[in-house]
Amino acid sequence: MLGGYEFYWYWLASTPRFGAKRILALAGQELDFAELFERAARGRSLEVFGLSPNMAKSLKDRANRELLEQELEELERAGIGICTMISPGYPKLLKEIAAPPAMLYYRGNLDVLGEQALAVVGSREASRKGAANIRQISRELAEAGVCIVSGMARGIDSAAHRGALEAEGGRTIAVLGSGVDVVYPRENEDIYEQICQRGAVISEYKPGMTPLPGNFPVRNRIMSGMVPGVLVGDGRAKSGAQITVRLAAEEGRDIFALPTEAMNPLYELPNLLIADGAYVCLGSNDILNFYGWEASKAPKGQISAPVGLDFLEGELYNLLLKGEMEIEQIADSLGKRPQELSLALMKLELKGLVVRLAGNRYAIAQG
Amino acid sequence: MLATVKSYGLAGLAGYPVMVEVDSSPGLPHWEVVGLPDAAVKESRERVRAALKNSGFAYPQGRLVVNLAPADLRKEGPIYDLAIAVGTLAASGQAELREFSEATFIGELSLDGQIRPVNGILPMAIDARQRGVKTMVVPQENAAEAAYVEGLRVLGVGTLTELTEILEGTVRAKFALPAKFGKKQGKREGVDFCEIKGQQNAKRAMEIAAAGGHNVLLIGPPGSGKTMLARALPTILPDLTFEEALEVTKIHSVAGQLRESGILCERPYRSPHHSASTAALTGGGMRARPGEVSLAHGGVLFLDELPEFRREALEALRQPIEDGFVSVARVNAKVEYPARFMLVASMNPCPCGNYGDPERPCTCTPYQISRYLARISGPLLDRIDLHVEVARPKYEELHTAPAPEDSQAVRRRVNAARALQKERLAGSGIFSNSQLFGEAFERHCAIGKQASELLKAAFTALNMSARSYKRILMVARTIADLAEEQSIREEHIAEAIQYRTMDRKYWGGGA
Repeated sequence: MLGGYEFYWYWLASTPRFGAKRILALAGQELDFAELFERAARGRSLEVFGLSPNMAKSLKDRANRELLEQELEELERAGIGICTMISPGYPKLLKEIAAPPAMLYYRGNLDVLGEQALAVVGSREASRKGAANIRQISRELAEAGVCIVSGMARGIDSAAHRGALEAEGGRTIAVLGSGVDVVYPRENEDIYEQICQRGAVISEYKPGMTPLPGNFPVRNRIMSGMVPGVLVGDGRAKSGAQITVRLAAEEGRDIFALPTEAMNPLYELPNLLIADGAYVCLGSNDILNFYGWEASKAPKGQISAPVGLDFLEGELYNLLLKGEMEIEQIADSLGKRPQELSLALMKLELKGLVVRLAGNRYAIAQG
Repeated sequence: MLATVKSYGLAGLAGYPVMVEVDSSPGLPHWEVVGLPDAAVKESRERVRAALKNSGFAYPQGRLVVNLAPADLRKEGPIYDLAIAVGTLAASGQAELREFSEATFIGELSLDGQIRPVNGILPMAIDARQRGVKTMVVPQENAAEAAYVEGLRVLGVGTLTELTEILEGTVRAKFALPAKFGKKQGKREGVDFCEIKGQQNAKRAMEIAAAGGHNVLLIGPPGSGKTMLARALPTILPDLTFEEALEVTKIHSVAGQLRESGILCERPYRSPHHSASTAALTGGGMRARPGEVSLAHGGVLFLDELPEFRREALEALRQPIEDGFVSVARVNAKVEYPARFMLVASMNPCPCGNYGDPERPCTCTPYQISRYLARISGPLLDRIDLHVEVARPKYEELHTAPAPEDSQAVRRRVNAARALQKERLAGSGIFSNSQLFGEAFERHCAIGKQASELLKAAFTALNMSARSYKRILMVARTIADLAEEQSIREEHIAEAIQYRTMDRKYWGGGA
């Protein structure tokens, strides 16, 4: 349950059209919110505080202690916590941005954020390679104790969360564009549960809020606002990720970009950012060194060097190092028929060196 | 005066003798058909009357009763026209049956006295011969079809006048020559394998499917040649035997689907549109006609765009796939039709069709993909042994690749593999590896230690479903047969696993 003053913050912040700016303006008038609440509850005029009649009415409608306490109880029963701007758990950096949220709903534990945190943004339609790289970097950062903040969307976001969850004791926070109890997209049900247990899922929207398209850019300011730096993966030149990066840069956050395939409009955002002066990130160490964070001492989960391969397996492995290939291309380059390769490919796959992709394609396994 | 003429009826593929009794007696002009006739049989009165008149016969004055015995079975179609006309002539003293008194008459009349072809001649002829019928009078155009029945004298007639002249003895009867079943050699109808450039992997899978009688699912983007591969499949299937050809022709004859006269010597290829109803696929309608699954008996049933088919229509395929026949029950008919076919289905990998294509990005969400894939139920997928991914052919493959093998060369290997299976499965009542179940499966699909270790490792590492286990072994058995090897080896297992795409986790997976 919320302690004393936070209760009044909840009252204000949960009233429609009351954002942090307006609440802070009220606070700036050296106003005791408890007193304001009493006035509102008794139905006395609020216009003296510079509130329009409409807003005064909305406040009065909700100035009902029983109603608010009932709401808070329901949230608690649903396992949803509340963190107002004056609560101790409120992310410190977030307070400094231009339009901080007055209140956050959350599931899980907000304390995992800590000082060492990094936001990861990028496209939903990430390349396989791009997603795999983000996953690896996120895992290594998480192993070093960095909290990975992302948006639980498809593509890069999911890769970042999954990477962090793979690390032992890895911490991660998902900032949603819907209510904290709405899992979107649905296929991320599994990581949603894990994030709730090992980190936190937060949102400024009321529980039950559907993921409206307009919510996401607004949500992005929170993602970049709570961390010192943002890592950018695959994305288009004009995209949600690009908006996040612009806002983050305006707030003085550090931008790290992971280079991608050149001249491909689907993934060009990080390259463009580098051209504009973003820091190049070629691996987790670039970020750790930049902030002087200590790298994890735990041995990295690296791909075991390919040893003990027979001749054909070796040939296949070396061929695939050049890039993913379709089975018939592979067969053609080796001058064999596809069926003669299945055993070797299968063995490579079982050794975790090669993965099979949709469309009869094979590639070297990524981390 | 009373005259009796023999004819024949069909219920499903089985026939029964019908006696056409015509009684002419003095009285007011009246014509009646009794013995459960349907509308087409009742209408034969008008056809017979006109045909008699236009052939120069007198239509008997007085009371005419036609009885089709046995009177409790429903008689359908226009096939009794000829028997009724002959009976009427005999009853009115205008003709005598003489040496044809024991013959069976089947045919439809046109108003000018011509005898038109009818459906279902072959099954009737086979059944009639088994019941001791020696002579059959059929429409000229059906004579070639009936002539395949050994020991049956078949007289094909073109007009009613021609028939009466033969009955009178003024013209000698020319019986059809017994037909011999000759296997068509060389190129078969359909797409030849050498016309398909590239697609080595998919062609190999089709060869395996043909060799073991396995069902296949082709998965690939639009324009990748799935339909072409399916069309080519009948050309590499083993040759039809005479018995098979008879059975296939019977079904097509009943359904009125015989395009040429005589017997079918090529395996059927059926590709119903995806709007097909359950009854169209499995058979049905008022008279319980054979459906696509039965018309594909002995050949290929190709379902293009599998997820677009109605769910209940697809589920109805499960019984025929499993049992090799389909029972169609209707209020006034219950029949069984054979339906042992190879199912070849095709589908796109996702709603937009580009999933897995490196050049054209897929615009579907994982949720859309999983919903699309979920339209095919597990039990149906369970009955499909090979899932083959077909990629769009590259330009170089279309223009510079070496000329591929033709269907005849592939068919030779398929025939050899089938011969091995036949030998191994002799006396067990099953013919191909795709039918290995229960005890036969345990006996013929045993694998060595190395192979079983690979299979075990693949299972855990590749997240395969339990249902794929048997399918993998059956397909591996066929691959070993193609290689003419006694035992199933590691590489056979590995190849078989490659054809289980739909069981794999990467399919439609997220990040």
